[in-house]
Amino acid sequence: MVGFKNRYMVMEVFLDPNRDLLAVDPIIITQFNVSKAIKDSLLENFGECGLASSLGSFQVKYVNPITKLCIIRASREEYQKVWSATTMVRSIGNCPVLFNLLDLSGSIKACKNTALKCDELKFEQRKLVVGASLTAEVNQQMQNCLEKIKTLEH
Amino acid sequence: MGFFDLNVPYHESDKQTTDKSARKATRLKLTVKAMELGYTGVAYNRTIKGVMSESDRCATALFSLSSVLKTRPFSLLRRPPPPQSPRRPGLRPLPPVHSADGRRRQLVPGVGSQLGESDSQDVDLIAIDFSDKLPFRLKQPMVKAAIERGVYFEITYSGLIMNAQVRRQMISNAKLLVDWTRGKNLVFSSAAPSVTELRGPNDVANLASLLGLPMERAKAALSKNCRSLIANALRKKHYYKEAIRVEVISSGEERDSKEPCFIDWLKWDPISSGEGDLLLDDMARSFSASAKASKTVKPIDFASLAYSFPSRGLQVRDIKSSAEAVMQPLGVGQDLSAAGETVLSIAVIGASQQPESLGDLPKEDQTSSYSMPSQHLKYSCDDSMKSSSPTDTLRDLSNAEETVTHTTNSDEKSKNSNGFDVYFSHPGTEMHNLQSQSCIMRCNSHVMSPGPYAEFHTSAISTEIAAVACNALADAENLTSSEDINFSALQSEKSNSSSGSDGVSGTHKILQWKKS
Repeated sequence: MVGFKNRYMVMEVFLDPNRDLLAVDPIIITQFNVSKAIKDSLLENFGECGLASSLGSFQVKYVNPITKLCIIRASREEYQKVWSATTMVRSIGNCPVLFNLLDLSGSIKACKNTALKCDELKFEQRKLVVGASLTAEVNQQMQNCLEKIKTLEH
Repeated sequence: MGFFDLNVPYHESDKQTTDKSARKATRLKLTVKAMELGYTGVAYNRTIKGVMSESDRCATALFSLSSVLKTRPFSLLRRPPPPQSPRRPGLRPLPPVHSADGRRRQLVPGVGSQLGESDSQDVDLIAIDFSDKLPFRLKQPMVKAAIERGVYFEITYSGLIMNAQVRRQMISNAKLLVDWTRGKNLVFSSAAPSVTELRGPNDVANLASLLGLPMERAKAALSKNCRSLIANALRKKHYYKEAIRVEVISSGEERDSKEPCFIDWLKWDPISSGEGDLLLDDMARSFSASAKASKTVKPIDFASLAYSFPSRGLQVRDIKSSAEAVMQPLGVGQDLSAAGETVLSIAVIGASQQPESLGDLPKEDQTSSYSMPSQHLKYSCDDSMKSSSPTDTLRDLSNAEETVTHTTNSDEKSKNSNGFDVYFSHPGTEMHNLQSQSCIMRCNSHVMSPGPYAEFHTSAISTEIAAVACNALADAENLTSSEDINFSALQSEKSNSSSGSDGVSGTHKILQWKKS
């Protein structure tokens, strides 16, 4: 029987919500900087103990820099703290950001399905916005990311 | 259930702004972002200090759909609203709500007591600025009294996001309020100065849990409470004595089929502001019709009519002048049995002052015929209405097998010269025999209370009435009310069972008759 119960949150990130739509992304989000930002927020809001108790199961499992989607795992007991901490994240590096939760699920399987759907939808939207300047490289990257979702494990 | 953000700051009307367009752009961005994050409605918050004048009336221009779309194309990742709800996805600007800014009140000494006795007519929402130390103490009996009056408290969450100092103050101050209200009459909103302080509805609900609210109450504070706050505010404004809204019905056009009427009524949303809504589908048409009709309506002064009635029985004036198919002359008594299908019984519910013996009713009624104006109509009321207390009537009503829905709809066909739909269904059905009825009556609630007689509140019970049982009349109770009641009821027997209750959520009150 699985001893660790987790919650998987699918979140989207809005980088610099004030900027113009067509501008280039100010920073590239990676697993590392998202994770760092959330940990800092946890430390600031919930203190050392808060950070320590959430750190056990906390992991940023997947980040898509093109569609700005991320999957964050947290333990079932602490997920609300982690969720609040990510909501209160104001910036990653120098760039103001906005996190928005799209889906919360208890198993990696359900999470994978919704993440795939959201990713595809967001990619479609991005194609609409960016229009012609979509390169094959970007497409390739996108496909890689989608593949990555499918291979996610707890 | 849609989520609402009731506090998007509106600074453009300040006299000393130098950058109006920048502020407008910020406001537009905020609105668009809110829509993207999943909010269904947004309210602009305009701060006015001092005495308000007519010129301060809300005249905020609504953003047109094109300007909204220019900022970004939409793809809704959110789950669509459940199909049976009449709400529409889209953003709508909400009608103005009077709010008492807690900050203004600080200047007055003894503000704590003032909070308790604030003008009950005017205040719908109390927003206290929690980000600094409160100069007055929040007391629990004050909060309780305010809740009983129906006032909502607002907590803004952008302070939680901005910086640590503000966060600290805010959580400790707001926690008190949250503990005492336990989420009842509480509304969360952002007072976001810019887009970076805005957060999605689920995230805000989670932040509310930091303050001590369980998750479902928090979500309700964002959606249900907002909606009922606005519905209440609208009710106070547009409904005469909080009970009636009378609207002229556009005669003619929609007479052909009854189906569209039902659908329109189902979709009527009490807080919709008509043409200002940005709708993502084309249900706008149905609303625009109703919105236009309602603009030309003035409420009728029933009070003057009410006093002129005799003390027993109801007098109906101007009952349909035109020969509506609906109003087949319902002979009272025996004719009723023949009338069979045409039902329209509007149950006037009320506690009769002395529950008359049932025998009284039939005699008088049999001599009258509906086709003549100004008759005495005795309404049968629920058997259980024998109790004299008004509060009992409500309970009894809800216990009754049938419930009567009174909803008026502006789309209803007007048959009357005054433009009111008055259908008379004769109330003969004995209340406890009403089971077989399948017609839904919709009428906009009703009449006002003349001083000595009774006070009404319309009841929010929906009834299915099919065929009127003729002998019901004989058993009907006598209602001793002397109000003139205009009801518009649907004549069709088609029952739309579930529809009644859905569409009319915010606008019905309970009918109550008090003993005079």
